[in-house]
Amino acid sequence: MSLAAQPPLAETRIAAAERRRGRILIGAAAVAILLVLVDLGTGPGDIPLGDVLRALANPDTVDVRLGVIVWDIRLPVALQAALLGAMLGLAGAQMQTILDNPLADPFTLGVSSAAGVGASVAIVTGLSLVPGMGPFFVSANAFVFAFGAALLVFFFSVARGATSETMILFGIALMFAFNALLAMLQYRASETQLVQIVFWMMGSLQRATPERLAAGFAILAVVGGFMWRRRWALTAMRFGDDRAASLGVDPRRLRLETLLLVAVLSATSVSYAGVIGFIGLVGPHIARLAVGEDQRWFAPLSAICGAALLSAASIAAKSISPGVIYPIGIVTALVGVPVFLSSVGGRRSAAR
Amino acid sequence: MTGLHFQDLVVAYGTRSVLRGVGAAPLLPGTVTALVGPNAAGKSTLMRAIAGILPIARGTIAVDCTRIEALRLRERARWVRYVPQTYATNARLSVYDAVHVAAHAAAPDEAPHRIRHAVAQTLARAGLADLSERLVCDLSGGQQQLVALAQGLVRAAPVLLLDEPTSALDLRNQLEALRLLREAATRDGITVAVAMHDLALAARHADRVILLSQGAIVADGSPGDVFSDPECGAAYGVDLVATRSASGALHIEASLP
Repeated sequence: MSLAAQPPLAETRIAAAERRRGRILIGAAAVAILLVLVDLGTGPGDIPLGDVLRALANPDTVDVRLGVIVWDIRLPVALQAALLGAMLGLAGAQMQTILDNPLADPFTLGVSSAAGVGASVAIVTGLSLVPGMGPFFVSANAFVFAFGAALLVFFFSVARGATSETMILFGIALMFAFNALLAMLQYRASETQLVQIVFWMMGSLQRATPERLAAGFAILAVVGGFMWRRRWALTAMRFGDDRAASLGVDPRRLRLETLLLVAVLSATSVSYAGVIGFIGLVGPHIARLAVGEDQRWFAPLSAICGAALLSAASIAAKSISPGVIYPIGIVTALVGVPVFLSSVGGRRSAAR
Repeated sequence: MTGLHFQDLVVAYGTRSVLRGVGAAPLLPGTVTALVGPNAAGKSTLMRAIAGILPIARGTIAVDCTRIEALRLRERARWVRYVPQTYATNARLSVYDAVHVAAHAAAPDEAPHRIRHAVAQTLARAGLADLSERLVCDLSGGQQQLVALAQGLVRAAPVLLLDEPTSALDLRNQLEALRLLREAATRDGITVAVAMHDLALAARHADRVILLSQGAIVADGSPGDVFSDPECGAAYGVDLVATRSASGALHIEASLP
């Protein structure tokens, strides 16, 4: 009967759909790698991309000046763009999943404002919350405050049932509170300190070092690994708390767990390079349109799209006016908005 | 004692008890039980309590003689599957993905090809095979409800609880859905309980009817017995007349008193 013939047919079509999404993932990864290479080839000094690639492949055969520019100046920045882009893309995707809100991003719950307060405290008072951080004490303070803000949301949510509504409401309240604190610190700050605060908030990829990069990639791998283990549960969350619970997922616990993982990513990112908006919103948005919300593809593609977008922003930051490297936080929105609008337009025509 | 057995269930929101010591003779494997009663009688609360979504203040729940009331959601899902009333979703997942994730969450250790096979079979049975690549968020309400039903049926648990599973379905699909539930009961020996507002459907398709009113069971038995019980009309606040036609089918007529 037709029932006997149908399953194999459906199964082959389904297998084809899975392979198609695998190919999208590989294609996006290739684009991201290409953008990282272009990023390496862009910047003051006017070095042809061919020379840059040669310096990458055979560092011993090129002259010292070129080697230093490529390996010590440009490579850390380019890798940091890809790393933070991936972190923000992944963090945004999971924030949108657990809050059931496509407008959520890694900084929705006040993490960026808190980081700003942490950095400002360091800049204005010179107070270091983490001893022994040397020149990175501003970043360290930002991390402590950002993660602390997420912990506040966490504990408040534990007490109040961990629904997406309570999290969003408390997160927004927290954001306003930290914004007020930030304004107070800025009001008290001297002119030079004020400039420092504003520049810190605008974000910069130039503060990259190999040690920080290694730590960042390790953090991304560990957090991503935890999220990967929860891929089925996170996908099930898209059907609402009751349906997820019926499938054996504890929605509140998963929401709290994921909140902490996202907080690690966003606090790391903000402490490395200031507030970089938009990537965590647009990366997952593009990934969702391309492969849907099955976490097996959605999570990795969100990270890849984030990496590609931030690499593109890094290129733009160096190319808009010659000799000037704009703060990355300013450029992301400029690069992101056209991509965002074009994908929204595409969706509207697809939805008839 | 096999099947689903719950006794003395108490659920309270603050000081307001929603279930006041609800218990019944075991719901047997291979049977379909209709849970009926007016709005806010406690039908959904009872199902959510059994599924472990609402905490119970007191009582016991057992499936096939295994006590499950203390089990965490993850273990509880091996015994009970619940299909809530809300079927609408904005999930950007294909119909296949939606059922696939349900199968996976329910049986995380199963081999991928066997899960894929089970999903394809469930989709074919639920009449969703042709829609399998469509996005759930683009489907009509009725189609989304069929997807929710398929999520309940795929790699089913021994007990399947459904809250108004046919509320958005057209006439044909209502009958198809009830046929699927009957099939799950008789072929797979699943214990099925369905909360229903349509007493005529309950009369025709259920083996047993449990009538809830104000958080307590007020009647329990065959459809004929429960619907001719004066308690039934009283619970709904209507005049209820149940008659049997020559063919033996039960007809129910309700009017305002």
